[in-house]
Amino acid sequence: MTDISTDYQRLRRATLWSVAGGATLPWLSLVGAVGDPARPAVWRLVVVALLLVVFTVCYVRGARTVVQGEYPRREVLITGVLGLIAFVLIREQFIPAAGIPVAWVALAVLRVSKLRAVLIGLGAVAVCSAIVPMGVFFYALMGGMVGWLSRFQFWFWTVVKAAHDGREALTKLAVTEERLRFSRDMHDIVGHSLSAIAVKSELAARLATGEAAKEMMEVRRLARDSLKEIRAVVRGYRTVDLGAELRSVRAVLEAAGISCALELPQDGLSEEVSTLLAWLVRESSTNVLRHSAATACRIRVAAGAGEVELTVSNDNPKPSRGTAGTGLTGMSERVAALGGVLTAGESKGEFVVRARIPA
Amino acid sequence: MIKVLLADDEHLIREALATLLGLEPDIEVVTQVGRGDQVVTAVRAHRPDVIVLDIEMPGMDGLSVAEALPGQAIVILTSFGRPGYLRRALAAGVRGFIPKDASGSELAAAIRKVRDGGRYLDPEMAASAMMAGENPLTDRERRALELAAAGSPVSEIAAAMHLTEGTVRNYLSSAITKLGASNRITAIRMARDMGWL
Repeated sequence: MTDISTDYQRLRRATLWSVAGGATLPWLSLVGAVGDPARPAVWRLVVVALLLVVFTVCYVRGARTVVQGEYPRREVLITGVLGLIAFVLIREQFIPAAGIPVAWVALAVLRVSKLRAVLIGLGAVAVCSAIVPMGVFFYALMGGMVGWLSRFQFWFWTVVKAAHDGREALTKLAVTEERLRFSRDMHDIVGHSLSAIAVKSELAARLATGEAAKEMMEVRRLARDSLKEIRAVVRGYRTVDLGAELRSVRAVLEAAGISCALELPQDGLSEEVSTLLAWLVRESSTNVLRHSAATACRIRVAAGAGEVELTVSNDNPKPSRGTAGTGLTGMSERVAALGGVLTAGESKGEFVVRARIPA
Repeated sequence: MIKVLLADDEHLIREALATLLGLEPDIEVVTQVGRGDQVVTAVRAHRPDVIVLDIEMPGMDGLSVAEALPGQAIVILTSFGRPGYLRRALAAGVRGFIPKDASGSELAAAIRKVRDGGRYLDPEMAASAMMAGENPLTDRERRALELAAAGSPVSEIAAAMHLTEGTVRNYLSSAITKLGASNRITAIRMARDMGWL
């Protein structure tokens, strides 16, 4: 694993250097112009040198952006303009001057479609040929060759990167699955023993007297708390698909003879909000099942202007009793933790639970 | 006196629960069984008012037992709140659903409530058992199954999904295999029950 990762990093660096290396070509153009017996005026060479400094900086940044996975629109634009000015200034030395547009093409054709790349190449050749008509064949040949080579080498990199990313995703998935399996197994195995301990210790407490009974009740409490914690851990490892969660709740309600209407927003909500909503819906549906003689229930999630609103309502509410409060308190607390507000109460013969959470 | 049948394969827990229930003045455990497939016979022999059923038992699981005894007052006693359990239990007419580690008095309260025709659901257990399972279906399989559930023939599903009929058949059959169903109808029912459709 480490070997592959090291190789991958090395290839990434090599690709970056070889793409950025294109920036040396314009400097060769300058050297060629200086070396030419009919060299251009000194001020032109100085201006070209200055332009190339900025060109190089932008080019290297563009190369980095490309390897990171995006098209360096701004850098391509700046190097294009600077390169064009430099090219015009040393156009008399038309053979070495080709290094500037060729370097630009090598960068500009990366991370675009084949058609776009051809158009970019043809455009560059057309502009340069318009400035130096007799260079047309040379420019077309150099531009085509270097552009193709640049794309080919980059294509190789993207293939390796895709394979590497795929492996990484698979590894992550395997880790998640293993965690899930492990937490289930732990729950199943430890859960059995803890349940037995809870029941047995209660029995012992009932049969014993005095201090011993108190101690056994303590053991029972420990066993139940541990079970609760294990269940919470198992639940915590799940990722939540709100649609599936809500449809599952609807299936439960309908199995109990309560018709259930479901309204869901189209766009995805954040993991955190989805998890909370799924939990709220489960809690309130449990309350519907436990405390009411409901025959119809409505669950609605609406996402709008920076907040999400959940409404769970049911008909035929029974007058609330003491136990109904505890569930609602827990719900209010969790909603408040995300900066939301929960209200619950009867209105027009319905019991309505409404939660507003900032999205 | 409320006559109770206790079915659980773990005798440690079963015996302890029986003793605990026996301490309640109005409850009598008339018989205990350790296998799911012995419950129906035991019910005929003892005519209990309420059956307390574990889910995971050899011979026959508790949910299937509940389905085989319609109209019987049943309390499901389990240590797991697995996805799909609560829906199946409620559909089978089960009205009590509590964790194995519930106290003897809670279990007694559930038995009394269910005997009187009410529901007794442990909130934590019910919420766990209400969760959706991990959906094994891909988007395409789910979509194909959804259209099939709406009554569309393969040719229409193919047109709606812009696929060939052969591909649609492949999606449907892989969905059926993944759900462990025997045919399309059972696959649709199972996926619906789990909240995947």
